[in-house]
This record gives sequence, C-alpha cells and structure tokens, in this order.
Amino acid sequence: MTKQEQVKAIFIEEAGEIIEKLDIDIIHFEENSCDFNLLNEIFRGVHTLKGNANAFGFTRLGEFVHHFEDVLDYYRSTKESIEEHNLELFVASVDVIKEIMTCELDAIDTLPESYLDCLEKIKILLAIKKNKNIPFVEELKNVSPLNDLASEFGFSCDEQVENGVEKSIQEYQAVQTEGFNLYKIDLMLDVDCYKRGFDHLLFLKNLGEMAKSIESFFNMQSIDTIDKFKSDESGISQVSIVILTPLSYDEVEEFFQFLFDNEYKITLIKPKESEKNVVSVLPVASLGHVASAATPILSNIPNIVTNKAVASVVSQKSTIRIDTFKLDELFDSIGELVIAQNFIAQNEKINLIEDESISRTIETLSKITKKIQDRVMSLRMVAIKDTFEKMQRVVRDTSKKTGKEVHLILQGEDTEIDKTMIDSLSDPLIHIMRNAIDHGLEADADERLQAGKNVAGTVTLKAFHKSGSIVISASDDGRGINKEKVLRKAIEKGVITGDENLSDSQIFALLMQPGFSTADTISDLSGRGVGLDVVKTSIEKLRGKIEIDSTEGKGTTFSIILPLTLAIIDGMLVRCGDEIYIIPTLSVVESFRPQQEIVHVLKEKGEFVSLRGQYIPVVRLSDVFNLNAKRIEPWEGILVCVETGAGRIAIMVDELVGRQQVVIKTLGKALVKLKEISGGAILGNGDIALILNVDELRPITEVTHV
Amino acid sequence: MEFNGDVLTLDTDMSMDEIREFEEFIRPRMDYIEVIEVEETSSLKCSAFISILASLKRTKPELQIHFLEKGMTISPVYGKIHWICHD
Repeated sequence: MTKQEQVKAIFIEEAGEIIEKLDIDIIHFEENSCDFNLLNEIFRGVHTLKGNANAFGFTRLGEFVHHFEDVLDYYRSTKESIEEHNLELFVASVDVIKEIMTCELDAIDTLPESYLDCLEKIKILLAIKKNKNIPFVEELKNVSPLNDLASEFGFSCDEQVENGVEKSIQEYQAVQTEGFNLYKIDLMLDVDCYKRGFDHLLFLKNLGEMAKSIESFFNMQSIDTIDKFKSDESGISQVSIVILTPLSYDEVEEFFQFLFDNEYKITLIKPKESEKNVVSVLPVASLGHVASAATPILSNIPNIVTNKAVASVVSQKSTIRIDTFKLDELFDSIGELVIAQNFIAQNEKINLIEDESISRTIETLSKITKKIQDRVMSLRMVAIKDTFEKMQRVVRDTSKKTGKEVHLILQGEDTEIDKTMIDSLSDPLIHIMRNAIDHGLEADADERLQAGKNVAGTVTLKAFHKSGSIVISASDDGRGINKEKVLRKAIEKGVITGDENLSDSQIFALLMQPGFSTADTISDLSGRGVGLDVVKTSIEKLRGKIEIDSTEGKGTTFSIILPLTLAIIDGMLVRCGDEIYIIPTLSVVESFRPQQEIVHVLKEKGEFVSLRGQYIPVVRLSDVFNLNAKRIEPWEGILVCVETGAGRIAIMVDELVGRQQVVIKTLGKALVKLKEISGGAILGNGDIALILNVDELRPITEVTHV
Repeated sequence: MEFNGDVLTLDTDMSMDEIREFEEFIRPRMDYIEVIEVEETSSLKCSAFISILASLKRTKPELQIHFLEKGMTISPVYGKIHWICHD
C-alpha cells in the first residue's frame, strides 16, 4: 500500500466514524434542538468531513457537505431555533451523506436519488436564511454613506477606512463569544493580481464561508480616470477585512498561502475585555509560519495562550489509532504465551522439582500471563453504546414509517464486547428492532388502549453479562407471538408435520426457519420471511445463539447470546477413546450419566434418552469420528446435552475432563471440510484438542421429537 | 448591460470579460451618459466592477451612480462591503 493509499484508508475509516457519529448526534439533536453544543459537534464533524472529502477528490461528497455545513453554521452562529421541517431536512441530509459516501467508495457514477433534492432544499434554506439575516438592511438604507460623512468632515480615504475598520472591530467585539476569533486582515494585492487569478472578492467569499460575520472596506483612492483605467489591472490600493470566525490564525493564513508576503497582513484582535483594543497575539503553534509572513510578532504573547497550546497537545496524545490486524497479531502471540505458560505449569518434570523459588516463579509467571491476557483482551473490547445509539435512528425511522409511537429504552450501553462482533452485530439488531416495532407492537393505538397499555409502545434494548457470555436482548411490550399461528404456518409450509411435541422455545425458533413469516402483509420493513433466518445465521457465525421468549398480549424478547470474544472460548473438555474434544460451554445444557431405563433404541431412528418428558437423540462421538474406541452402552458413559439449531442432542463421551478457556486456532484448508469441527486448540500439556461444531453433529432434517 | 437614452443599466454580476468590453464601450461615450443604474439581482463577480464605477465617477463627478454613492453593499456571499472613493 502506498503512502497515499494508506492516508486514504485512514480518511475512509475516519469518515465512516464521523458519519456514524453524525447519524447518532442528529437524532439526539432532533430530540433536543436547543442543544447548541451538540449542533457545534455536528458542525465540526461535517466540517472535517468536507475538508477530507475534498482533499481525496470525493467532490460530490465535498460539495454536499459544504452546503450542509453552511446551513449548520448559520444556525449555530445565530442560535436561531430550528423549525421542525428543517430538522427533518438535517436528518435526511445525514442519510444523503451516507449514501454519497457509499457511491464515492464504490466509484458509482450515479448520484443517490435524494442527493439533488436534498441539496436544493439546503441551498434554498440557506438563501432564505441568509437574506433574512442580512443585518440592518433597512436601517442602513437611512444611514449616510461613509463617503459623504468623510467628505463633510474632510477625512482622507485612509482615515475613513481606518475609522470604518475601528468601528467595525468595536461592533464585532461587542458580540464576540467564546470560540470565535476576531481578525483584521489587510489585503494589498499587486496590480497584476487579476492576471494571477486572484480577486479581493475571492478571498471575501472563502473567508465568508467560515465566518460568523465579515465586513470589508475597499480603499479606491488610487483608481484612475477612465482614460488611464485598465480593467484587468487592480487599482484598489487596499482592502481591510474584519472577520469574526471560529478559525485559528493558521487556518486563516491558509487562505492566503498563494499570495506574496507583502500582499496580506493578518492581525488577531483581542476580545473586548483586554486593556488594549488591538494587539497582535498569535497562538504559539503558528509562530513558525509568522516568521515568513508579513505579520508582526509582539513579544507580549500571554502565558495563558502558551499553556492552552501545551494542554491541547497533551490531550491529543491520550488516544492512539491502531490497526486491528496488529491487535490480532498481538492477541495470537498472547495465545501462544498462554499455551507456553500452561505447558510449564503442567509439565510433570518441572512439577517434580522440589524448589520453592521455582514454584513461586511459575506461579508469578502464571499471574502475569493472565494479567497480560486480560489487558490485551480489553484492547479489543469496545462498549456497545455506539451500536445501541444507532438503534435510536432505526427506531425513529421505523416509528415514522409505521406511524406507531415508540419509546426506546437503552440499558447496559457500557457493556463491552469484542470489536469484531460489534461490527457484525448491527445488521441483525436493526432487523430485530424493526421487527419489534413493525410486527411486535400492536397495529394502532386503539388496540393498545383496549389491551390496557399506553398508546406509546416501549422497546427495551439491554446488554448484560451472564455466565461468561454477553446477552443482548430486545424486548417489546406488544401483542406477543401467537403460538397457534406459528404452528399453523409451520405445518402449512411443511416445516413440521404437526405431530411434534414442541416446547415454547422450539415453536418460537420456527420463526427463524428460512422463508418463514407469519406476517399477514409484507411491508418494506419486515415480513418477507428472509430476515430472521439471516439474523440467526449471522449470530451463529459469531459463535452465538438467539433465543425468543414471548407471552401473548404482553410482548416478545429476542435474546442474542454471544461469547465474550471470538478468539477465546470457554470450553468443556471431554474424552472419547484416546482423544480430547472441546464442546463450547455456551451450548451445554447439562451433563449426566443416564440410567439404563431412560435410554431407548428406536428402529431406524437410533438411540434416544428420555429426559423430563422429552426424547433427545444420542450422538456417539466415537461414531461421528470413527474412533477405535471400545463400544460402551450410554449408561456406561456420559451424555452431554447441548442446544443446537435443530433442537437438543445428547453427545455421548467417555469422560468429562474439565472446563477451560482455550485459544481458538484455525485448522487449515485440509480440515475445513470437516463440518463437525469448528477449530482446534492447544492444551496446557501441548496436546491438540478439536473444538466441536455441535450444530453439525446431526443434520437439521433429522429433527424428530418422539 | 442596457442602454436607454442617457441611462445605462448594469448588472452586478458582470464577469471580467464583460467589464473589459464595457470599458471599451464606455470610454468614447462618457459624454452621453448621465446615469448609471446597477441592478443588484445577484452577487458581484469581480472587484473590478466597483473599480470601473469609481473610475467613471472620478472622470465625471456629476455622473449619477447611486450604487457607488451609497458606499456599500451587503451580500450573502461576501458579507458587508464598503468602498471609499473620494480624494
């Protein structure tokens, strides 16, 4: 990757983050449109996006965010309350930004449908606002022009410009607020400036885009009479600009970087409370530039400016961006370290050495290794907050589309989850949330009122730790799932025969079968029956599972249960013959040695164990892997009951060895076809154990509950 | 640009080329023009526009150019612009 490509990759990543944040912030702002700090935050995001987009040639994105930024700037500068329909426009603009970004990244020539429409609306809004905001137009009509007054009092042109500038500075100082800097800029463009492509108005335009207020004074005293006048030569001796802007000195200076040093002079004006009205104070960071520019440097730079600059540098260093690939490598290395440490700790020869100091050192090594492992693990962990906040947008949009009033409650947003999982979790969650509103909640307010509920539905999104796993649950207080209807549909579609004795959870699990939908009508949100099975598959890819619980008339809860990380699993070690296998603990329901009378053999169906009224098929691990182990009866071995996508199965093993966290290793291409195995792990004694993929231990079509 | 009797009407958004043409046009016709009206329908395009008006006023002080005489304009693009022409 070239340097340019690397920088571009960073831009794309940053832009993605900015857009994600915009998406969340704009919804918060919609809820509280008086929060001008948030509006500033949104403005800053859009401003950064604009700069970066233009720098990398994403002109369509740059163009759009440029105008959007103008509108945001107008509102944040004027603090004018934002009309509801304009808030809608803001939200729509963020959508357009997301769409253009996709177009830019995929090099799609066609613009998103809403692009032009939204851009036009923004431009119109801005035009209306700016015209409306032209200050003192009516008053000024009655004010004598400076020229007349000056002539009357005999002021020279220079004096008159000076007076005007001074008056303007005083006016701007009176309205100057924190975060805005006041500058006086003198432009002394050479006569050939037009030929070099510079016009005074060009600078005014560029500065104006970043200004809260801008005023300029053109000194025309050197203009010749028409016989000597040359249009393509500038006769304007000086233009003095007074500008109130959030820009720093360096940022202002960037506008003039292509001019000669003697063609411009920038002076930062101190806010009104200072003793002297006009002194040049420059941020420390800009001193290097100043030396080459025509700006005076005063020696009385206040200490406070220096301190601020230093503080800013320190805070900037508090975070660092790291490629996740490097983190993965680090994580792998830690995995190896854990294995090596386990090897030492369990090595029989080492254990035979009766030396207290060696024992203590091994113990210390073990503790340090665990600490390093935990810390490296934590590097990959991020709070689920951002993903949850994204759901606010989903709920808002779905609520508007369905016309249902919805309250979203978020709980446990600080719960941390592996970064890799966060990225894959958004889509399934979006689907579940849409489903909850579209199908979960009652069709209208009357239906809710009749059921004794509030008009507004409630959807609760919760994250919490449970038994070494992370649970993300989405609950609605809607009508719940009609089990009869689910069963009827399942029979209609041939998913079940109707003879099965299914538990509630198994009935609800039918909803996640491919092509299954109980929705009477298909909406653009959900009901096509292509969603929940995809959700289930996505969660299973994350080595997680999804459970549905519902009470008719009260509501439904979808629970996504995920391992803490994708790199390490909590496993139950079992022995079958001479081999050790690992069963992910997340799937394990219980383990037991069955009594002979509860084991049944059904003709052509195999062995079953009867457990609390349920017949669970027995899967002999020795048969699955063709092991040369002595064939024993189920009641002589151990049955590990696990939950799979197609129901429970009992895996028959010889012995339970223990429970251990293991670092997952991929098996390579040769073993990839073995669906019954999802990976391998190196045990403390150096042996390799295979991790079972319990879902593949029995084909789904074999579901038979007798 | 529109010529109607002794009144010349200009638009604020004249480009540099148009100003150059106007310069050529106006030079021999200074005597016939009494009033220059400026239609502020859009934003200025070149600072040379203000310059040429200032030049005309300097050449013929009795020429009525209300736009120039008011000494300022307000633009949503450039903010408040003042010009000082006497001396």
